[in-house]
Amino acid sequence: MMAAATLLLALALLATVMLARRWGVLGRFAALGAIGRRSVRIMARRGASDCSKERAARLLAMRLMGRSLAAGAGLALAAAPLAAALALGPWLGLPTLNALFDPLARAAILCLGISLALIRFVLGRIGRAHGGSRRGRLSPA
Amino acid sequence: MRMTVFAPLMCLLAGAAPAALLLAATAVPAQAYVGPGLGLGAASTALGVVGAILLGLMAFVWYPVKRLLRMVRRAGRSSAGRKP
Repeated sequence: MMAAATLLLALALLATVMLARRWGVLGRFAALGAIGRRSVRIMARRGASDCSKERAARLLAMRLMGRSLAAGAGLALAAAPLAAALALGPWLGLPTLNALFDPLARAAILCLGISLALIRFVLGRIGRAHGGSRRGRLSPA
Repeated sequence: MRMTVFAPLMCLLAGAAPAALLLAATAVPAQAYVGPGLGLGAASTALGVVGAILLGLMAFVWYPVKRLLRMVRRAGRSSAGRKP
């Protein structure tokens, strides 16, 4: 039972990581930070008229709200598989909650993750050696 | 006078303290751990929402009020200048 729960948890974690990479969750947060810095810079600017500052603040407030909600929603959606595994595990009779706090299960998930990353890395190197695209790297950067 | 003001507060504390002790003694592990990635993401989302609200207040309240105050001041100055 614990092995099945660990496997389910590992699959959920893998799905979470894949979704976070696919949807560009980190990029959304980077854009949010950039808009925040830009709004601070615009508000601190001297020599600009109040009218233009008001218009810029209105636009930036709406944009900042939209971007922050989008980033939060992306994060929540990316974490949804993990939450679903934790919520549905006891319902299916699998102790996923115990597996999350079990050191042995966590070590197994770590080993599985490292193995998958290595397999992806090796497959990516083989694909690149045969003239493929630059997909399948270890790092998304 | 002071006793009547503090009496309800003391009663509340006398009721709340045993309840807090009981809750602390019977607490189970919360299982509410949030990892650094999700935690930082949630914190930055909340900061973004708060920043957007502050910026919106600035744009929709502060600048119009500032403009209104300036208009009122200007009108008062011009009416004072017209009077003999």
